[in-house]
Amino acid sequence: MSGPAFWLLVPFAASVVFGAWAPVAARRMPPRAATFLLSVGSSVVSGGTIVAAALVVALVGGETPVAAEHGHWSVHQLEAMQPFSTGVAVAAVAALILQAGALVHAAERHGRLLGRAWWTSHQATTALVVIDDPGPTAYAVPGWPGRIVASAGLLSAFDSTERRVVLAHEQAHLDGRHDLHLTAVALAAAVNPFLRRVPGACRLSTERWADERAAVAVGDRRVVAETIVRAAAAVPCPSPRMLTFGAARHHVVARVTALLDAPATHRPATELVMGATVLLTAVATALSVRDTKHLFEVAERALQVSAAG
Amino acid sequence: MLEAEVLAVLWSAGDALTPEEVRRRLGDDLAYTTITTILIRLQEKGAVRREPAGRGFAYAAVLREADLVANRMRALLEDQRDRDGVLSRFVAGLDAKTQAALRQALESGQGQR
Repeated sequence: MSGPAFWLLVPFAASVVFGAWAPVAARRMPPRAATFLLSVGSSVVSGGTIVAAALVVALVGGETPVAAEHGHWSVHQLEAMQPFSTGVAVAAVAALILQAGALVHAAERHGRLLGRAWWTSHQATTALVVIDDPGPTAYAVPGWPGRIVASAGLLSAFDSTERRVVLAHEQAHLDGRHDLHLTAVALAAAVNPFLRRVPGACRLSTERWADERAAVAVGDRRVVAETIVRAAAAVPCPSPRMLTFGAARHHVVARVTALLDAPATHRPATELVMGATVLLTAVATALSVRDTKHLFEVAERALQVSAAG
Repeated sequence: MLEAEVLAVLWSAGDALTPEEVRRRLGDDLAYTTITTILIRLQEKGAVRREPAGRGFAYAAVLREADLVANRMRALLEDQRDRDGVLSRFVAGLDAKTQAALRQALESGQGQR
């Protein structure tokens, strides 16, 4: 396999590697760097797979008489150079339809979620909105500006340091625009099933990022760990059948462990492997676009030559 | 951020506090005027109410029972129970076994800070 066919395989191979390493990055890397790597990286990798499928469809579709007439190129020349079999073409069409459908669906859903959150936070007048709830609930509602929501139960049960931890943690989600990172990885994963573990990984890295910011605010990482355990103990345990909370439970353990360990340092191996997959995808995508354009140019010239001759 | 902290202090107190009391509970080297400015702004927004106390005023958090915004905020959380929502929740509930394991981890790490 050579030329475009080879370049087109790179994004798919890259997404397998990127998806497999994502949880490692979320757990071990400094959380801010991990979050950016996961959101930007998965967007590039997943964009690369869309472009790859689109190029195959363009090349094979270019052989149809209708397309050739519009584009003014030689069908015979294109056929002679065609790097893809019919099987690959059918797979690419199917992949492109599925990816486009998944992207539209996820974008619509996330757009609605973000829009509702932004609109609600816009309606609030204070930085903190208190809900009348006896349980220790706290969350960040993103927006411009975003708002922190805390339950009356949490504010009365927690001491001043613990309250500070919670407020600083939620404020960090808002300041770091974690909603945008989480939306980016959700869209990337919707398009590319190899990236299905990336959203969970990114949620963990954003939580760790917010934990570290809270630790700076109170000057003690251990206090943050204690506050997390205390708050988690007071939240009613959901039934095990709700798998989505299983991941969140898992994250509480990972966050506390990370806080009890020394602060995370850069992980050259993880960063190199994941960075390389992103870079390779970007390069391969650029090259495959160039190669495909070249094939069409050759086919156009062939038509001009045959017309002249 | 400071506005959120002042509101949190008033909520946890459950009682009306003077600006000086708020300042002490925040534990920062904040100027008295900074606190009063925030309190007055919060009062204008209807988030706290003011009552005479000594020569000045004391401020208390107001629970707005029919607060539409608070209800909408809560509805947002109920809508986003899946893993890829845009809200970031502080913690999820833990089962007893995980809780015990975490407590142990906290205790065994007691020496190091």
